[in-house]
Amino acid sequence: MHDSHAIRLAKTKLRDAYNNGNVNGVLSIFGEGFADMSAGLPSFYGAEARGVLKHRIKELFAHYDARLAVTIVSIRVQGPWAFDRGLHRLTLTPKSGGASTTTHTRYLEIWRKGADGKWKIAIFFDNMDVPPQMPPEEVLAELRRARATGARRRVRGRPPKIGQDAHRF
Amino acid sequence: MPERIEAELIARILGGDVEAFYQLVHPYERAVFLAALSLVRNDADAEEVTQEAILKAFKNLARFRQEAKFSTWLIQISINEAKMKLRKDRRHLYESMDEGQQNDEGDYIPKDFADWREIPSEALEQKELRKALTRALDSLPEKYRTVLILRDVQHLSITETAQALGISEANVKTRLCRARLQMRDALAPGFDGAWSRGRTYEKVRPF
Amino acid sequence: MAKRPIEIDCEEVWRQISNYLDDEVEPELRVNMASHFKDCAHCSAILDGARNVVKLVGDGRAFEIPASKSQRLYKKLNDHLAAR
Repeated sequence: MHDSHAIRLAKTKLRDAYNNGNVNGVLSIFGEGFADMSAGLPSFYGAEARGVLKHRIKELFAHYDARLAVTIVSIRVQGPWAFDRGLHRLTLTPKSGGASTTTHTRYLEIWRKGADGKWKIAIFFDNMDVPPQMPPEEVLAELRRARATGARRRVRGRPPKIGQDAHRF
Repeated sequence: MPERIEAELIARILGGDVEAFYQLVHPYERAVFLAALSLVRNDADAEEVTQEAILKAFKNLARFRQEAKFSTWLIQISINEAKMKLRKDRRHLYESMDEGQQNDEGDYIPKDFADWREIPSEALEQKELRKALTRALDSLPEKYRTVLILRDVQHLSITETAQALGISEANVKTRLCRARLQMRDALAPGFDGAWSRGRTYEKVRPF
Repeated sequence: MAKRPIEIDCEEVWRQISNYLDDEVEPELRVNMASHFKDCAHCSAILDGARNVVKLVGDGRAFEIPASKSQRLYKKLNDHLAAR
């Protein structure tokens, strides 16, 4: 629980850094030698990744006011590693004036707890979020069938005859 | 019922005023019945259990220590009677174990996330909604169903619910959360009038 | 200066959503959850649905007992008293 909370705090720091145009604040969340696999961009690793990210964020904040909304869906911790996944909504308003643009991405972050006890992002992936949909009907039908079979197997023994008036509540 | 009046009634009953017992029990009839029903799951058995519970409460009234509320004590008796009936009929062996989707930490994952369009209370006048609520409640695992009935149907406090069931308050809260979420899932195919108009309900599943 | 809300994950929100409805969460958690609901349509939908469920089942009309059944509940007691 303590670790999950630390990661929540770190994401909060990332959010606030974006909202305050704080380049170093953003960078401080990423760990030594991190991998950057952001959507639509070439992948970068290690020291290069930090340099590229710093440059990108500096440019961004120079030209735009940023508003980052974070929705963490799930955090999983296993020893010194953790991952979280969720959604980002980034709204950019040109400093020179003009309409805002909003991008919706979904992300997966792999975190590592350093020797100093601080959690930092080791690998970052994201891609464009697509509005949710139900699976195709054939898939749903198969899931329903599988569920029905499973449920029948789990009821132990045969239910006794309770009586003809035993209508359910 | 205010505890002062309850105490007076109890004193009168113990003094021989039998009529006062009906007065004492009357506000809790539904609570006792629903608590029993949550366990035995059919009307006939629930009636029998309730009759037994009311009789037991009368016979043992002298033993009621007024630390808890009378309603909590009465409901406890009902629940114990229901459990005894289940054991006698050996029905507890056949309870379905279909508990809904759980993640690796045993948390309940709500089944779908579509926009909820409010079902107004006035719709309770419709038989279809009352039947849908009953069916939804029946689909819950017993331990969640009982907590929901005591807490949300009968409006017992967390403390009273914990006492009646002999579980911790933390346990009551966890089970109540799951009960409410599962009820929502069970009712979901029906809201926006879809269930009463025979329309297919449009679901959305984001994660 | 007001404390900025701390991010909370949907899974934690689902665990606390019942307590939130009953006003049984600590003030800080309350603020964090409220902020989450503002941005998360899915959790908002779950909250609205759960709130509606509580309102419906808590209504006296939801599980009414007819008067005839009500009277029958005293049968064993009445038999016992009559036999005394």
